Amino acid sequence: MSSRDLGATGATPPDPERTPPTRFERRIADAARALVRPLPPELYESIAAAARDPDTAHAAAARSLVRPAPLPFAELLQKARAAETDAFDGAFDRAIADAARSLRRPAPPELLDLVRAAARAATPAPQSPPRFRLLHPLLRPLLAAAATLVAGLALFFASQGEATAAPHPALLSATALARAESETTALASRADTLEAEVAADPALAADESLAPLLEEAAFLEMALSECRAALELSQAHSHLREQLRTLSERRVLLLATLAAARDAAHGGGAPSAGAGR
Amino acid sequence: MAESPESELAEGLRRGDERAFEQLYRLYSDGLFHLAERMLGSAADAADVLQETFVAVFRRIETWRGEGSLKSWLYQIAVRFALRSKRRRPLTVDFDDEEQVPPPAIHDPPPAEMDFRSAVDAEIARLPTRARMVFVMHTVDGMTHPEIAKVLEVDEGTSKSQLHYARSLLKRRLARFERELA
Repeated sequence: MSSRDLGATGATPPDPERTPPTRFERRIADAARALVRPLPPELYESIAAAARDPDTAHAAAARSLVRPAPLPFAELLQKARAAETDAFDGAFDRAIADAARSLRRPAPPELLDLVRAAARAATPAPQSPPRFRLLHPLLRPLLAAAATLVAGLALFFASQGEATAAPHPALLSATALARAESETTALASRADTLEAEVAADPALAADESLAPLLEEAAFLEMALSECRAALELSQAHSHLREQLRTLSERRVLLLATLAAARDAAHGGGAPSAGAGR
Repeated sequence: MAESPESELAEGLRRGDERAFEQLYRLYSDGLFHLAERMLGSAADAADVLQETFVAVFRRIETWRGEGSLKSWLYQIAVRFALRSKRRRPLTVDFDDEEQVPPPAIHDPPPAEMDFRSAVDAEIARLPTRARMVFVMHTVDGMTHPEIAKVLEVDEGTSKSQLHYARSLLKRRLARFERELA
């Protein structure tokens, strides 16, 4: 029912404050009231004192509300155990302890000879001086200090050489990446020069004997473009970089072979720029 | 710096000095034998444990680092041997089992003649293993809680609580004698 409907009929929306509570709500309210505990009498006194002397009584009232923090359970248990253990000092406890002590029998005297003979027969464990020296209490702190120093130096040099060392075997460091990029660029440049030379000769494309090489060149170009696309995700990917370099080298070699074939077909000419690799 | 008597003893043992060995035996054999007998309920088994313990000490004295007391180390070895011996038995008793079959009392008189001393003996034998070990080491051998804690490889609080448990059990089970003694 919308508000317009209500206006039209003259009815008013139900007021939650005025709506009589249901039986369930009354039971909840009763339960809640039952849970309300009266203030402790000492707090009433503090509040009364606060009314009389607000300067000091407020602080007293505040203090009366502050209780010492409970001890951790383990500590409480420990104290209880210690207290209870110490509490066993009555006459009966002493009598039990005395009786228990009086029951102690000495080890059979003939056992000494047996034990001695067994000990004689047993070969003492071989001494291990290095291990013993390592376990020596005086040497232990020195060893610990030396180990800490070595570890610290290793960390220091590792952080210093971070630029040159590969941070992760799958990723190239900044230096290695720069070197790889430079190499790939040089190879691409050489390959482009060779390709321009090969493309300048239309007779090569018609030469059936060179068809496999030309096909391989086309295949290599395709593989190189795929490799470059994959490197877009991570330029420092070591495996892809290596693959790019290998493909670029193969392309240069192939184009150089084609250029050499062209030179041979033309009756020998100046060696091409990329063939000297 | 003067060496402690235990360090001197250990040094003698390392050299293979028989007098040091005998001195060590005389110092601790009674306590170790009693503890082993209390744990196993058999003098023969306790004698075996004692022998194994001293042979092990003789063979392995170089591994004692001198951090804890020689006594604690000896007791630790004996407790390990005793527990191993207990595990080997056909009637296996779990270390932590409270409701266990008790080992026989060391002095086991007929029930009719049972006096207070005999009753104490029988009730000590009925204590749970761990509580019994702590009670014997503390009350009979006079070991401190830190020493017991080291031997049993538990914390001091556990040693204290086990002693309290043992004493409570003994007191409750021997309550019938309390009035007589008073």
